[in-house]
Amino acid sequence: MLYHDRAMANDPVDVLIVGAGASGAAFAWSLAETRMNILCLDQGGWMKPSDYPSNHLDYEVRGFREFSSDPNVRKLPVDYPINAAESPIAPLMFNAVGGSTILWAAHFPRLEPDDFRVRTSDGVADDWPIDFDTLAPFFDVNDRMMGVSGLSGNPASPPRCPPMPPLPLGKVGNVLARGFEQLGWHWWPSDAAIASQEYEGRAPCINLSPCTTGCAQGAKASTDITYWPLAQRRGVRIRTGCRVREVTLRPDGMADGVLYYDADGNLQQQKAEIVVLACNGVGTPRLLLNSVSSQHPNGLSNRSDQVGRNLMFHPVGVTLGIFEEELGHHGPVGCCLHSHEFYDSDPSRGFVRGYSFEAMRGLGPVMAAVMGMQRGHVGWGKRHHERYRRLYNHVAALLTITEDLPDPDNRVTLDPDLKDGSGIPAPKVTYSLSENTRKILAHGKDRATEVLRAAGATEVSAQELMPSAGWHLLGTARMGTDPETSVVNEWGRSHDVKNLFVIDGSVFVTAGAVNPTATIQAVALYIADAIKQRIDTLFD
Amino acid sequence: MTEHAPDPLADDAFLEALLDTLIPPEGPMPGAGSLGLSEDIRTGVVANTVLAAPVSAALSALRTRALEREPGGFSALTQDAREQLLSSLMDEQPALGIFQLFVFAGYYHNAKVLQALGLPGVPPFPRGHTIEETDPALLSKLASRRR
Ligand SMILES: Cc1cc2nc3c(=O)[nH]c(=O)nc-3n(C[C@H](O)[C@H](O)[C@H](O)COP(=O)(O)OP(=O)(O)OC[C@H]3O[C@@H](n4cnc5c(N)ncnc54)[C@H](O)[C@@H]3O)c2cc1C
Repeated sequence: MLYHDRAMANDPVDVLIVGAGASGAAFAWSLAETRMNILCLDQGGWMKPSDYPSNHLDYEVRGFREFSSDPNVRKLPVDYPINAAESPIAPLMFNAVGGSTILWAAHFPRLEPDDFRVRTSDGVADDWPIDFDTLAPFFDVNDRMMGVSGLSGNPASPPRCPPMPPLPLGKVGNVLARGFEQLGWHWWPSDAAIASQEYEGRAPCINLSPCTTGCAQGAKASTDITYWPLAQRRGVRIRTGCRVREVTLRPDGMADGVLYYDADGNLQQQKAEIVVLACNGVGTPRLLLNSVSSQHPNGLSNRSDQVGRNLMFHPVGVTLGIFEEELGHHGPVGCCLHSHEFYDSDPSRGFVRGYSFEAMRGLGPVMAAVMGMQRGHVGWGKRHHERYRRLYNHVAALLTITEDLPDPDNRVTLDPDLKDGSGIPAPKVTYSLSENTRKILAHGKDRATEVLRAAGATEVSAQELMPSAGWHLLGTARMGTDPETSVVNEWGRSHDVKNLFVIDGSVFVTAGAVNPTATIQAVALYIADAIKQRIDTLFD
Repeated sequence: MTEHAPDPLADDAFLEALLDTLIPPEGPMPGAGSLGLSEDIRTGVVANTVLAAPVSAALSALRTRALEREPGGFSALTQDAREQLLSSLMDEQPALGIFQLFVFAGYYHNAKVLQALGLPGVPPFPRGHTIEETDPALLSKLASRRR
């Protein structure tokens, strides 16, 4: 399923990026214009669209197996296990060129300006050392590079001009929008990193549906088909099947490269002038914690003891409405419409910060049966078909995506026993929901019920917390100006090691209440730009 | 294979009867036992190192209980009697619920079933699907709110 290229020499490079996912790709493409010698290592390989489940009749079943977003279920040789026994939310990801964007839903909102100054607004958590305006130009570049479909003019957010028109709402969206209209609540078609028309060699979306098991059409922007081909054309090299064990140091304390296991399991050394980590909010702290030396006995760049702490997931609740009318289930699963009606803090609600709603399309034939059974809607025996018919093609759902304030006890550490296939210690995730988050989820469930009822649902059921929803991995190597309380500075450079950078969602100070990847990539582009601007004084 | 084979997962007659009990035929919808799903389900269960043993044990318990009631075994019972027996064991043998998931997953990606649901019965790619356009009345409401 994964295709590796072999036989490349470990000649020293200028810039070594670890991780070829959303952030690594954007960063590599941007920095490539410097003509530096740039190499990216990823433990995964290249994906082939003809291998994606939507080429098969059992596409939904494959999503429970080799295309599951849970590495503990998938268990492919390129995956590393995660001890998530102490977390009610399973961390999800994919390991390949393209990283988790291979499986993502491509819902593409941006953090809002106020999300960067939570301490100032609400007296909780911390402000970011950068603001929305700093990222604004990078958001726009990223929209063009990823290829975004959407409708400009959303009154709840700063101006944005997606390069393509929005995807059609479909029956589900039309019906849900009427619910929001009836209540007078904000809604807007989702910005989606999915092509609604031919775009830069990408074919338009044909509503295959299972976006979250890979897009065989190539309409969804995974970075293996957006940034990477362009970065490679600019000279960046990717070496696949390479699992990095640790970052190594020179005697003067600067990073000098990494040790990694190649696709044949041999330990290799790759030297570099600059090391950049883009392994996501679990993989990056894991790598830093595994990089132990006499200079850094608690892990690299961890003098602040902040590496791995403040893990944020965006806990998600799902509220499901059953309708008399047929709604269908085709179309991009997570990209339909969203609402920011309850995004901002309102003290009268009894919690700080807020949440967004995202519409989900209906359930495919297998999911309708499986989820229907788990929730008691579909049984077995003589009434099976009657009950299944009520659910299949008659469902619309709203996800409540909550703000997830940082908590130092929510963290990634190294498991003392668990190891990956190369013998590298695996991460352990410890996470619990705050009282604030619980209140947000409860509020979201009640309001989602109102929308679904207003839209015409005859039956509504809710799961207040979705366990399999750790899609967003944030905060575990946060940025800040104070080396005592943060891991990297305001442009991604490690406080402790001046040629080491972190560019993925680990650097988030707070999480907002929207999907993070547009912001993760804007941050990665911004850090690349900061490096370009400071190239002569980079290590000062 | 007969209902006396040692491994219930290798007992086709038993499995087919059980599948038809879980999802019986109705109108255009075929019964799960008539679709030749047993092999796929067996492979799926056996491949799951965590679930294979409890599922197999639960099926054995069901088969034994059926044989106590009817010498011809589970498949010789009426649909009502099978349902009754299965219900009585569900709490005691929660792995029967897991088996049910395997059956549902196998049934609902079968081409005949998909066709009976009104779907083409082919993989989503390359044909794709058409979905309803955005309601123009909604779009004009949004137009008036644009900033
Ligand atoms: C099912 C699913 C749906 C999602 N939907 C959305 C959505 O709709 N909108 C949204 O904004 N976000 C979504 N996300 C989240 C989004 O995919 C991530 O935010 C984004 O991909 C993170 O980018 P990244 O670069 O930080 O990490 P990733 O994209 O996860 O890439 C990390 C890469 O690092 C590599 N790596 C890790 N450790 C090592 C090592 N030691 N050695 C070598 N290589 C290593 C991995 O193989 C991987 O390729 C979704 C995620 C999932 C799983």
